[in-house]
Amino acid sequence: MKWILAAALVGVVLMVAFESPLTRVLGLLCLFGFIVGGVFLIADPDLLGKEEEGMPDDRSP
Amino acid sequence: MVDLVVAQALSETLGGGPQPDLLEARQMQALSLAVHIPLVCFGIAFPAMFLFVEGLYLRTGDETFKRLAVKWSKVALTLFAVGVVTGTILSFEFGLLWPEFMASFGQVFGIAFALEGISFFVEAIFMAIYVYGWQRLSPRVHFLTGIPIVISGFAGSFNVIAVNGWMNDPGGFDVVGGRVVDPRPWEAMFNDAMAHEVFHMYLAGYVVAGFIVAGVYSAAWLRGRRDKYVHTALVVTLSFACLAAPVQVIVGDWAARSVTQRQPVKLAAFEGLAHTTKGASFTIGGVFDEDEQRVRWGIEIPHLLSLLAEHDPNATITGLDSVPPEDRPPVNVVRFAFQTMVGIGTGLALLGAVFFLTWWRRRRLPRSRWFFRAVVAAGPLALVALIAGWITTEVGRQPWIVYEVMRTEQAVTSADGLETGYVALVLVYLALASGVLWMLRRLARQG
Amino acid sequence: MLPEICLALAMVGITAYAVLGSADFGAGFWDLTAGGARRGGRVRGMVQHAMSPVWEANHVWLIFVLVVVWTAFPVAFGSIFSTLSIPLFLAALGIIFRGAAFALRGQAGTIREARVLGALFASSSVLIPFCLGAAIGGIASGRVPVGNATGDVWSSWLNPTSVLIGVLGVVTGAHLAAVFLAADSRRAGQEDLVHAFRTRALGSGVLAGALALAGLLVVRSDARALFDGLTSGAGLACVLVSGAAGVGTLVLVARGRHEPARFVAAVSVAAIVAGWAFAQRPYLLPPELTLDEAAAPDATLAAVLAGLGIGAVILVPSLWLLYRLVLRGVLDQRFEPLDQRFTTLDKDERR
Repeated sequence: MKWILAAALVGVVLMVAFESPLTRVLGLLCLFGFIVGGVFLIADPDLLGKEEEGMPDDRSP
Repeated sequence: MVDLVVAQALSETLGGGPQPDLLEARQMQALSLAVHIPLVCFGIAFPAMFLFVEGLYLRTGDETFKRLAVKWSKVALTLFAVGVVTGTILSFEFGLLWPEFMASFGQVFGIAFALEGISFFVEAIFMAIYVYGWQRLSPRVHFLTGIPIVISGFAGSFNVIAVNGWMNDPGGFDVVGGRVVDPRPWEAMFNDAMAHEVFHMYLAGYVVAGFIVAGVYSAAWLRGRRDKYVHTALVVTLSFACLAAPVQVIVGDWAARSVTQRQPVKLAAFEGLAHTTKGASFTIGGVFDEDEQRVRWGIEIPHLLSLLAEHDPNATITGLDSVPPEDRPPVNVVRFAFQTMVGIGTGLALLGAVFFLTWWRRRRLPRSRWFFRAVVAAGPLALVALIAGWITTEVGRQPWIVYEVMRTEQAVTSADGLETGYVALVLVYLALASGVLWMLRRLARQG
Repeated sequence: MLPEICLALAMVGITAYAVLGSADFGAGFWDLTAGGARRGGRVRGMVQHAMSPVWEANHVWLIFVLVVVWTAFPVAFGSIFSTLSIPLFLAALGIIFRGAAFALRGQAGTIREARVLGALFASSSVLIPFCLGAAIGGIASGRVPVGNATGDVWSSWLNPTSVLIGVLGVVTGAHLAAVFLAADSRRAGQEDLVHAFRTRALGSGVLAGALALAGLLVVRSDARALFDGLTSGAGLACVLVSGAAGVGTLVLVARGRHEPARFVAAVSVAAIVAGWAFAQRPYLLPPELTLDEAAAPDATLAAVLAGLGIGAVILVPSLWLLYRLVLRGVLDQRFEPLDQRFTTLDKDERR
């Protein structure tokens, strides 16, 4: 779970602090790992459709 | 890469001639790109989304996921069909509007389009198999036929953007006696501007398509539809878009630094920086005054431009005055587009952060109705940012079609009467846009 | 040698588009002429049924031709598109309407919507092959000089040869479509439609043949060099093969052998496209620009061949898979006459 944040942080550092092609490739890999890993964690089929409980009244401001 | 040596000014391959309608040609090309690019976003990103949802169906066997994937794939096919035709118009326009450009440089950059043609073919083939194969292919085989769509969607945009990168960072040929000689197609294709442009556009595809689709379901959510179908649609599209949006800021920083190094005049136009300056400040808002050569009514933040562009608060930034006036792009158009893109992009990244942090702490969507209202607005705004980004790079390259090699006015057709074509094209695109919106509304209403 | 190979690749693309793309345009022609909503419902339903899975892939052949020509023969590309800007622009507008209207018709909710979109789709399906054919006529009859829009804006495509090839393009497309649709109708088990399309195939086939023969006289007076090329050597051989295949198609269709008829009809079109290439040899833009003069340097041509060669490794099996699935009916949806689709929906709307 924490590893996607770690990937994002490492990716940002690699992308911003350096200029070489190698760090760019590694940085992009980390950032794409963050996106793909994040999507799989967030769109977890066990959690999908379980939102209704505890929702506040629809029409209240 | 070795810098290009242009010994003499380029002369027109087809022999030139009067060029009455440069402005109309540029407007037609811009209009056609603006219509096509949003569809490209769906071609890039939507397949990954419906394939992901089909993956959920394969993992759980829940028919809700299948219903959603079927629905999305049908929408994607219709948008793909419209993208096929608007993309065809673009290839026609290369010849109809810019015959000198094609005659001189088709030999240099054409290979990327040849590869794009292949990707496009593969995408069309598997799109058809996927959408029409839901009933009779086995679930696993069906899922597999979706994978080439995702790959070819990326490969296609990669190839097209390689050409745009080349127009900004031309290489892979020489100019001798005013003629383009010794084409080296592979060198042209793998130019230095390609990498950041490709990833910037690829992420833009996910941000735009993700927020637009999320907006549709967010509206349904606000109207009180909270079933599993809508929840899944929302969470999947939001997780793609909201994670891509902050990453886009990082890639944007890379793009800006690359432009600083290779196209300093373009960067100066982004920022309205008239004179080469050490420790340049960044100005938010305002208008560039051509007479006084400075930005008026803006909010100035000292040293920020140097810091952003070179990661050093005291770095020297090249100004517009480094080239003669006729070699500068129209500053206000470029600057306004750039600030629009950056402003909206930052806002979308913040929206993404809200989504991500809420999920991180509570494993659910934010509860505020304002979040969902923001998501509804985010789709159209992302679209505006996308178009603004392309205006930034395309108008920022002017007056060159091939940066510092061929001027746009050298590239245009000598055919007269483009006004008629322009009016016809505007009407056709208006009809097309209303047709597509009508269809999307109908599909959205069906749920 | 490299220029010839690249030209052959472009001709493969043109042939594929002239067979597969034309058949889709021809399907639009039969959609246009099918009659009122109720009477034409079954024909239109079959057109929708048969075209849906394949028309996008078929259309990409046009893109393929464009990219090969502008990369390998850039000067010819610039000259063709600037001189023939009017028919090509009209074709482009037609392409927007044809594709978008066809795709949107699949989502139509009422018969009225379907009819408006169908009319757009069908009339563009006539416009596009005419304009593209007229453009080819302009090239083949030597009316496209090298230069930026240096040819005549109007007579380059409104001339006897252009009009002939344009009309022939429409009629041939209609014939191919009828042959293919007859086979598709049999697969869908709709015998009345098999019969309807067989009649159309025979009628349009006879018309296409008559037009082609009469057309030779037109070409003889309007573009003598092209006529000489088509009536001697390899050009003549191609014309004869095309004619024989055309007759063969009619025989097969008349005997109800629809699947083999597809391929023989395709041979007929392929042969005439090849005949055109042989007839104007060695010119790419007669009467001045030869193939060798028009070709890009070898480095570019080699890159095109390498790129397309690698691409073919992926593309050919993909195309094979698509057409195999189509011909086996794996991608078929349930056949439904176009007007029937809306009977229930219309009721819903009224309620």
